[in-house]
Amino acid sequence: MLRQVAVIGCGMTKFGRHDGKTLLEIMVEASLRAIDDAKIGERDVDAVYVSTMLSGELSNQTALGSALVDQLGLMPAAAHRLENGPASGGSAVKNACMAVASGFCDLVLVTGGEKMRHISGDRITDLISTMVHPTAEYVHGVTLPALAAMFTRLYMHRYGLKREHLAKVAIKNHANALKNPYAHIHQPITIEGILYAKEAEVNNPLVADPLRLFDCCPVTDGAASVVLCAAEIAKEFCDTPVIVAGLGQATDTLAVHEREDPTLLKAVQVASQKAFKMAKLTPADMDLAELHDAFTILEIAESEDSGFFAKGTGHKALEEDVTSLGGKLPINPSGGLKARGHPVGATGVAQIVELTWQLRGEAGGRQVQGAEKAYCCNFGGFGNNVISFVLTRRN
Amino acid sequence: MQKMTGFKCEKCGKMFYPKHARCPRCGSLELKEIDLGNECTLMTYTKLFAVPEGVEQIPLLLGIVEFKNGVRALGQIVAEEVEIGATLQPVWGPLRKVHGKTVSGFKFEPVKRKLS
Ligand SMILES: [Zn+2]
Repeated sequence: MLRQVAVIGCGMTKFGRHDGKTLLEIMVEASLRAIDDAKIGERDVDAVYVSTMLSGELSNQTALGSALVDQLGLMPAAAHRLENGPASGGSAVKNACMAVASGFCDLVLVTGGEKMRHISGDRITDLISTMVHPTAEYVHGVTLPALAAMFTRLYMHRYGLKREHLAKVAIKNHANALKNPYAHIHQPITIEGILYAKEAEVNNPLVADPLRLFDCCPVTDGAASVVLCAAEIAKEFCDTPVIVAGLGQATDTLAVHEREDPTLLKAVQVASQKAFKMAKLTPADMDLAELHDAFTILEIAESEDSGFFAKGTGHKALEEDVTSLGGKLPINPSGGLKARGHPVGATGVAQIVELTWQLRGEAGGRQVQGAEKAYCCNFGGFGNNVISFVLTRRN
Repeated sequence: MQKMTGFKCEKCGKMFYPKHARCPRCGSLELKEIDLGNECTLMTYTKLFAVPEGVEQIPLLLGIVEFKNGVRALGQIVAEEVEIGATLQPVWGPLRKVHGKTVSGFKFEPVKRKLS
């Protein structure tokens, strides 16, 4: 990048259910926290990037960039609303980084949010499904869980992954979320409770065989926000700026069946390789990672295709607690999408927030001790549009 | 009976489904329709219980199939149970409702072998 970009402030709403508040109101709440955290005072914000996938369909509001700028009194700052499916948040952060790196902007605000819980399950499932291939997938009744399930079955068939591995991702991420006050789900779960007990069939029903309820992220309301600036001026605002050391983005075929190897997340591979190359770092240098575990299988597959583990061995690392808090590479200390929740447009921004807190040593009970370098991966569609970041603490 | 068609690039020979404006491999615009054939193999599948609005059948069986020429497609499977590797054939029928209107397309059903 032409100039380095720093994260100088971040904020989130609690993820969960926000009845009685509008999407704009929760975006304002997260933004004010980030602005306050960044201590930018009266300094002009040059641009605002808002990410949301379904604000028009679910909240009857579009062009949220303009609305947020107006609420925050940031005029005449440039404002955008960015929609890129579940990768909307990562896209907004990336575009904000480009604006700062190019010298076009010095100080920018990125806020992602979604309000989804007030809509019925089959309606939200359908709306989310509109991102898949219109004629080769959508009209057949395909949903994101259905694509994830077909991916899982093939992956199990090839690599010997068992349902216990999927359950372990959920158990680990639920346990991590207990230490995250912003997480949607604060519910410890056990393998007996979700797989072996008599009631498991009722409490953890099949959503898309072999995936069960506890393999899928919840439907969540929430917003997350970050303030970015040119690294050269970051010290004016904060003592502990976090540097965006690398980022990468890549796409893959829209229809999953067209991929040469449908169990390979090629866009994750390419995006992460680009991010590591820019950062001049390797996966082995990372102290933690936030991955896009919209489904438990995705944490395992992304941990491989991001370059942390060889293909087909991600579940072994999970089994050996390498990816647990206290392990060599904690994955999703925040609870991930699985338990922090997945307000679609907020997720990519929330990943940057978690990385920043971790790198500043402010992650409380889920702090990865001494974390200096961290990675995240925001996964759009079913892997057709992926954005990866490498963040580092500046000493 | 309607035949399920894929596409072939006249320039580089790449075969694919569904249609793309340009060849996914070489970018050529010279594409022709090809018959995908009557037999395909099930690569992976799911029984979907949480169906979207517009789908009435629960569970909905969905799968990815591979034709003999290597081209793959996704679709509904008309059966109670299936297994990876099963031989299926395309069959035309109603799929779901979109904005209240029924949309039709190809689904896949097990090939019934004639008893000899
Ligand atoms: Zn070609």
